[in-house]
Amino acid sequence: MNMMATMAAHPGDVGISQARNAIEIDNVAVTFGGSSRAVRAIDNVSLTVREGEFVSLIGHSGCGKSTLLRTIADIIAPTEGKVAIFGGTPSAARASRTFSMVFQQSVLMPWAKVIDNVRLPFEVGGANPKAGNFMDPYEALKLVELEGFEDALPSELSGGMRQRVSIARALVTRPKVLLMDEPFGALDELVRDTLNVELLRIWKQSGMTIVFVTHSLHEAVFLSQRVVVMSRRPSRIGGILEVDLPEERGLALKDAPELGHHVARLRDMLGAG
Amino acid sequence: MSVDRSIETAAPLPRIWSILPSPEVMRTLGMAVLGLSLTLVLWQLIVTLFGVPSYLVPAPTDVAGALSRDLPLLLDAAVPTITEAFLGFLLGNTVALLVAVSFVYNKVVEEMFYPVAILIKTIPIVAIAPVLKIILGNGIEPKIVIAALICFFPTLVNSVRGFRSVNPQLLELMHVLSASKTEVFLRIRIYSALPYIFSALKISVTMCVLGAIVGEWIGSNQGIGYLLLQSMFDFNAPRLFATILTASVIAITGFAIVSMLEKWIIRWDPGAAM
Repeated sequence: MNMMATMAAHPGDVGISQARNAIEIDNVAVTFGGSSRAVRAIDNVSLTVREGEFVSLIGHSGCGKSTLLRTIADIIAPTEGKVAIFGGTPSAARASRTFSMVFQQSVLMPWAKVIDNVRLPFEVGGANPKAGNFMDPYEALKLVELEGFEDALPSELSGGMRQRVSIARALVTRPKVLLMDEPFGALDELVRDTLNVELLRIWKQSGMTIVFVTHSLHEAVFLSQRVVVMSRRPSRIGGILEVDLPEERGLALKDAPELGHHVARLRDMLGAG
Repeated sequence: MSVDRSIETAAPLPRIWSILPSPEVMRTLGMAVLGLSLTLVLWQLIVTLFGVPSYLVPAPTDVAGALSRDLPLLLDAAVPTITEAFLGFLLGNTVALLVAVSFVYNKVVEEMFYPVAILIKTIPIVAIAPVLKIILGNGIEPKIVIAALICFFPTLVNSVRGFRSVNPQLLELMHVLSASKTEVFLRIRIYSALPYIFSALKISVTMCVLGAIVGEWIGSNQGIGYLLLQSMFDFNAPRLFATILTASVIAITGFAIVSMLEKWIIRWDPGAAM
């Protein structure tokens, strides 16, 4: 309960109807390489993500869904078009810790204890935990159910536990936006299911906006309010599926026929794209 | 007989070495002691059976005799050699680390000076030694510089590779966290490089003893290198062997100290993918 109270203090809890736009992607194109051997990874992508929304990006491997996420995260600069996060530039959002990123690998410092890994966002980049609305790192570990592992080294944890640590590290700055690049792609299915349910719980409690890249149709439908289907390279938005499933989603939903219908429609859209 | 005795001396080792208790280590150690003892026995037998004069090849017992007789002399000679090797080790590795950092942060500096470093490496150390003697004189300085030179290259190459061995995703994470170059260096690069740096230090800690000895050959009236030459001129083969043994004990001790430091500092698994 205590956690819920601290997490819900966030402006993201306002209803979807009156929500602001968290992310605006306007006609973005990304080209890699020099002029002679240029490869256009994504082309002419426009997308708006509302505050508090859970949106998945899905597509064939190499279709540029990660590239799109990276332009939001200010890791790649768009060749054309622009990205805005709460009206500001991605670079300003990065500096103000407006968003956090979770990678496919847990990307932990193997030499640092779990708690020190979670604390990293406080200690670099001019972040000031006193001034910011940051979470206690121990609290963040509690949120991902890793109490008691504060002093362990990453190598002493399983792959799923390491990914939980990296989620705690992302949550500790109380970001308004969470960008996740196939975060559970390297985990086995049972662990993935558990973490899916937990991620939904954390999303509900925090009111965060989440953009989630995955290549699992089931995962995309299970988690999201909207699924954005990206076509093959050069990647465009092939279609958007509004997920019509109940707000409360438990593990049982993973095997429900409604979920299967959504997955079938996604598969159609992917084929057409 | 001597085989039995060596096993007796190995028996109380577990108590002394209780800091590193693993049974595999004990087995490795035991096997090494056994092998060494057998070699010594064989050596003693050959020298005795074929009647090789001790001024040509001394038997292990002759060397042991020289070792106990000349112990004060050997310890006296060890002091300057250890000093030169240690200071050379510090100098060579410090400079190598600083140069490596400048290479990693400045491509132009690397492109210009990596070839120079390779050039220096290709000149045999015994060829540089006389030059250094002319420049730096007969004191301790040329020995330190030779020891430093011999340490420099392996540490440079390894630490450049180490500083670059950073997981690229960690760099992306640091970028997302708006970390400065200094923060990336202090929190990520140094740790990623440590395993590489330690493998270089383990090479250079034995090499710097060699460097100091070569320096003493070129011009000195003290140290292990001087004692080696002196014993050779005197046809005192047992003392010559005892001096070699002393040099090797110095190098092994240095290696053991660096290995322990490595174990103490690197407690994570550098090979593990995170």
